[in-house]
Amino acid sequence: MTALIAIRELAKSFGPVPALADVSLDIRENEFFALLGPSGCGKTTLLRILAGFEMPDRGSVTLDGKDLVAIPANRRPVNMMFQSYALFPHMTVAGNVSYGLEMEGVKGPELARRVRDALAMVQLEPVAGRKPHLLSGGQRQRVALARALVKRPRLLLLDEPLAALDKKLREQMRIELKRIQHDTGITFLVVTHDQEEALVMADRIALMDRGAVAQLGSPRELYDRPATRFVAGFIGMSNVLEGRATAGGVAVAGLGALPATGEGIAPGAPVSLTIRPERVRLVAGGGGQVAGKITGIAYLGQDLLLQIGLPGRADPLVARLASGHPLADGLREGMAVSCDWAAADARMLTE
Amino acid sequence: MTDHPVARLQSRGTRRWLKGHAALVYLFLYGPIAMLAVLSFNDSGLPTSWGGFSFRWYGELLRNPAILHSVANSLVVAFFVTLIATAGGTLLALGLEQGRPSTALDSFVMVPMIIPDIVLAIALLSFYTTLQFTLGLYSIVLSQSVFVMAFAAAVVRTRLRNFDRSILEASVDLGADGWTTFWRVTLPAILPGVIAAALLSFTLSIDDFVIAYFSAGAGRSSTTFPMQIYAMIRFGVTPTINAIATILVLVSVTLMLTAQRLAREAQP
Amino acid sequence: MTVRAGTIPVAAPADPRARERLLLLAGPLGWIALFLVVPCLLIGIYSLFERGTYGGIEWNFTFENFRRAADPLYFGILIKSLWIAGLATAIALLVGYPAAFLIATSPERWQKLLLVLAVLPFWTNYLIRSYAWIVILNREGAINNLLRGLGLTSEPLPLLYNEFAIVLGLVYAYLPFMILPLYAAISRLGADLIEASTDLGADGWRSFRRIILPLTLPGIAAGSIFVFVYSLGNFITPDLLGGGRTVMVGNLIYDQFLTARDWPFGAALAFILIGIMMGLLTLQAFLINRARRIGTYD
Repeated sequence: MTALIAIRELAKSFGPVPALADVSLDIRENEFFALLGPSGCGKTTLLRILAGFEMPDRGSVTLDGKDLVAIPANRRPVNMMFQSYALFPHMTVAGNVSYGLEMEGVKGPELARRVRDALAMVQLEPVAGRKPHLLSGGQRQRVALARALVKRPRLLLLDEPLAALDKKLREQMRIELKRIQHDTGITFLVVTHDQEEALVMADRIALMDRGAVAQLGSPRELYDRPATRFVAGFIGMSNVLEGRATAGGVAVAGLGALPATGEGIAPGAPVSLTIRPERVRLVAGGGGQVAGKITGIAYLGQDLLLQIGLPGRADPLVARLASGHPLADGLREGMAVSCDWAAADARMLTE
Repeated sequence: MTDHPVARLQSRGTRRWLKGHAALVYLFLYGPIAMLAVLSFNDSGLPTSWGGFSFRWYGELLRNPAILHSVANSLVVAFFVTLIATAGGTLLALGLEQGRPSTALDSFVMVPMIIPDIVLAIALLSFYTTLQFTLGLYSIVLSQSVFVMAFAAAVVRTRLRNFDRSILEASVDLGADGWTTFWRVTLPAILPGVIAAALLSFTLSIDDFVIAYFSAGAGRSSTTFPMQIYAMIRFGVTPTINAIATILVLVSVTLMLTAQRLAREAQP
Repeated sequence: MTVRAGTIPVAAPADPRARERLLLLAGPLGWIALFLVVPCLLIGIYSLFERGTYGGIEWNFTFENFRRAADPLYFGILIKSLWIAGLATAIALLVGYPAAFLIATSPERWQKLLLVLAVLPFWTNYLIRSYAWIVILNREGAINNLLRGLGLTSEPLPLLYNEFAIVLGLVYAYLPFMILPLYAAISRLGADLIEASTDLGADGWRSFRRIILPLTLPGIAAGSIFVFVYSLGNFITPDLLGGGRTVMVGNLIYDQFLTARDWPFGAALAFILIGIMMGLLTLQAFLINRARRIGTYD
């Protein structure tokens, strides 16, 4: 796999605030790439630099090995689907979609055919003659997508593409976007603050924090092997216990030695132990590594979420177990429980 | 300092051209006024030669009884116009901003602002004549109030649009009746806008020439300040006008800048 | 009061909110009706009767006044007024649009200041602003003096008391009215539309022609209508800068009422102006309604 886009030590500040601090990453041909992070992490700035709406202060961006920064925004083989969709209100759906092709000088039957094909791909042919204000939110979103895709860009940028849709439509569109990416073979770069969205759609995710890439990897890698506490906290839910590294785990004040894995960490070093709620196991009849009292039970349908108060700690340990778990029916608030986890499921993090 | 996103898309040449053009526009707008201000301190009174710095023309202004009389008339008229127009304009704004927006009603309220002043002036003159009114300062007040009210309403409306209407519902929800809500919630919230409207009304009244001219009737007793200025300009280039201009510009600009501040301050 | 009356239990069957609205509007709208609508209707009536021998009205019904307005002499003045007003509007638009564009695309905190500065001159006395141009343009004025001083001319140029001076004076007077609605329209546009256009491959000129211009049309219409109507009915500027000859329809109306004492004819001319104004306002309301529908206004 070759790098389509190579970003090297890219930096950009607005006034005294650095929006991007020396970011380097590659985006591969044909992949569905997600830039994930909280608001203000720099993901939108990076997107706007790729589109040509912002100039970086330092660093380089190349596309197929050629300098992208030097090319004006209107001549880049990069197109964007705007968060607001930015549909031209005075043009019809077909007019919006043909606009970009007209700018390339595409004319006549070819123009008509390509517009028709693009509208067909997003199932919008029946509304081709309508103005945007008569469309539903979902239809507008697909016009914005078709308008950007019809130009067959080397890279399609999607700025929070699903944020304006309601929950149900959003879930459908995740799959739909994935299908379109697969069918067209165009490289997608999606910016989102919604970790679930990124996990479902992306081949690879760059999780950003304060202008830097906190971790880059597949959804699985980010979820199962978070590199930092920030990653562990941002992707999914994690319990965090502070302590010191020992030979086979972490010594936590008041709880004793707990099992965990971590590579290259010297014994005695201050570390955080992180454990996903669904990896915490309830042990019948006591005898687990951690004992506490149930302080809250939340019913989520398929699962139960338990808050377990630990002696001498303000934050409860959160455990998630299937509603059909053999112990589930007997659980009550105030009940003493005992739990443990496999060393392989708990990770030691130093930062 | 962050540039506007659109500015970032423009080439440096385009941007420079736009800035140069705007600079010329501002020069065009302010050059003539600035020139009068400078000339008002010119002892020779001529636009062509500098005779030294002096307050001579301001002194002459103060010794001219006709001018002082006209200023007094204008102030009296402006006072009553401000009262009527601010009250009427506030009611108008409250009424228009309540309920569904109506383009027809909006257009109707725009008519007093957009109607050529000469047309309004002769229409009112015909009206007063038909009713056999004796014209004087009070007819000027009645006439000016019509168009000034429309401007005042526009100012209050801007303020009304920028304020969160749910606080009215909150007030009613907390047990206040309509009247109490108006005095305790609505009015304080829009008060800066109302004051701005009053300042605007005052300025418009002080500056109006055409409507006043036709509504004043014969006789010098109801000559207002702009009517006096008009007579002086028709007479020829008089250095005293430079001094008048400078004072008027300062007064209007101060009033309008204050109004601007009030109309916009504390916006959510 | 702007209480949402739906929350108050009221026994009356009529919509209390509508009644409240009526209560608020009755006073000011009554005032406008009495001192604007009635007088305008009155001159409409005047325009259909004969003039009295010593001014005033002779109550004999006639269309003569409107027929007279079509006489070559008066019709010529009407056409000339339309031409001058149109020219002033076109120049104000060409000058005002780029300025409004620059203001609307300046850094946020500069915008307010630049806008206030553009509008401020409007709040200085109209007569004074016209007078300034007399001082600048007359035979012994600033420009002629400068030209002579530089040795470029020996004879003073006739800059004042002609159509040029009138158009200049009108543009000067009403430029703020052009810039204000244009600024509003351009800043309402939203940067993302222009970014989208650029992203799709349009250069600056094509983005302007295909996106910016059509979407700011309501602002162009509003500004142009303001400048045109104000210019058309103006009589001070032609009077002071045009040299006192009867050049525009405003002067003609003035003369009929204060000099010739032919009120019915003056009323007919005024009525024609009102007709033009109403036509333009209707056009604007139509444009705004259309823009509202497609969501590019307010």
